[in-house]
Formats: sequence, structure tokens, C-alpha cells
Amino acid sequence: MTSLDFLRDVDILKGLSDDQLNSVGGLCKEKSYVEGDVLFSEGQPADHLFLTLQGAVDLSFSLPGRVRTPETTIVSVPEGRAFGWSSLMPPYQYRLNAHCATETCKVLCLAREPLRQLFDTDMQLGYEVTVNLTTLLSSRFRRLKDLKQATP
Amino acid sequence: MDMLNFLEKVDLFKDMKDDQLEVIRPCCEEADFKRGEQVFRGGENAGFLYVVMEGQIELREEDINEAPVVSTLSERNVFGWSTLVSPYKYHLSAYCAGRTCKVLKIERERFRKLLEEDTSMGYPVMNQILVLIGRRFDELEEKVIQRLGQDMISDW
Repeated sequence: MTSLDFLRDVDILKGLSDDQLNSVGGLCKEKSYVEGDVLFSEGQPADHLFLTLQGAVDLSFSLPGRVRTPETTIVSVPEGRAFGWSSLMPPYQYRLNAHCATETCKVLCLAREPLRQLFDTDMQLGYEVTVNLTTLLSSRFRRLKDLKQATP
Repeated sequence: MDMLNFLEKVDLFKDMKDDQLEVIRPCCEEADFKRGEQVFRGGENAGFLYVVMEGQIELREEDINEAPVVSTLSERNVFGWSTLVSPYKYHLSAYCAGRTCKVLKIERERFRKLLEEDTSMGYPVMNQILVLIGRRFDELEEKVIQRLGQDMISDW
């Protein structure tokens, strides 16, 4: 079971009661990675939403024929932050690449279907998390826009 | 067209019952624009969510009319999602792309209050907003990749 103290500080879980956090915590599965490990790649089926539990995960997009470079990294996701929002919207394919950016990292994985069921059962929880997710996605959109404008 | 008949055809409201559409109606007003006129500017306070009723709208990256087009929208397409998402400032600029266009404006404060008070309405609406931002993200990413790809080629 994931600690309530950790979940209380997670960006997309802001505004949830302890009972609601426990329901989310019950769906979390922990996974560990080492630096450079790929958690998912752009275009792969997106079945899980992730929360960084320890370390950091970098998100980047692919340029055809190019390996990952610093300029294609949109954001580094630190502890207590979520990523993998493509798992909650059609066509359910990851839009970015995710890799472990620290010596080791731990993440919590939330499978889409049980999470969706939880949202449908408790719509107040579904509403709060979705509002928080739109804020997160909006900040990724901003980073992408800034990245474009920053290039000469 | 009657407002309810229009609203029920908009994806954002597709899961709503008639009585829910009725409570949204008072938040709505229509507005007309001519070719090249700006509906809103990127960076400004996002006071309204919009739906295209007639004509075409272009979303551009900067607040100049010649800036690259990120997306072209037609009837029943929703835009101005930043009005429901912190920090409530438009990211892109919107322009009337045809000779004339008519849009539906949904006032932020009243609409947000409705969504918060009735989460059986709020949850599906915000879910659709999430999908909409994802679509814009894909369109913008496509432009970024094109741009960076061109920069790489010109470096060779």
C-alpha cells in the first residue's frame, strides 16, 4: 500500500480526501529502473499513468533519424509528479518517450481500466483528478510551445 | 438554430441530459467576427470557452495574423480550453478565417461553478477538455518536429 503522506503531495491528487487517496493508493504498483532505462516510447500502447516515487524521469519527443538529445527533452518529472496522461485519452498511445534520468528511480503505475472505474464510481474524485491532469497537460503544452519559440 | 439543438451536437456536451444543457444555456452568448478579426490573443486572461457555430477559426501561435497556423477549426469544434485550466490564460491566438464566422461564447465563472457543483456534468466535460488539449498537443508537436527537422537540414 502506498503511503498517504506521499499521495497527499502528488500534483494530480490535489483536493482528494484521505479516503479517496487510499482508493487511488490501492491501485498503485511500484516499479524500479536504473539510469537510461526506457519506461515507454512514443507510439506504444498507453495503458498506465505513472507517478514518480523516487528519482526523476525525463520526457522527450522523437526526431526522425535522431537519438534522444537535450533539445528534445520537454520536462524532467521529479518525485510526486505524474506522467503518461496519454493513457487516459484516445488513441491511448504514448505521445512522448520516458526514461529514467537518475541513477535509479522508482515509479508507481496505475492501470487505466481500474482507474477509469474509480473515476466513474466517484465522479467527484474523477472530476478533481481530471482538472489536475488538464493543468499538468497545459504546462506540457506550454513547454512544447516555448521549446519551439526558443529554437532559432 | 435553437441553442439546445446546437449544444447537444457538440462533443463536449454529448453525455449531457437536456436539463443539464438547460442550466448551461444562460452562460452562453453568440458573437460574430469578420475575416482576419481576432477572437482572442495568446497570453490574455481566458474569460470564455468557445464553440464554432458557423465559418472557420484558425489558432495561431503568436498574436500576429501571419503566425503559423496550429489548427483550423470548423462548426461544432471547441477552442479556448485555457479558460478551464490554471493559469487561465490563452496559449494560442484565435482568428476568424473565412469571410464571417459565428461563435458561441461560454462564460468561465458561471460555467466552472456549474461543473464543480454537479460533477456528473463536470467530470465528462473535463474529460473531453483533456482529450482536446491532447489533440492540440499533437498538432503543436507536429509543428515543432517539422521546425526542428528543417533546422537540422539547414545545419548540414
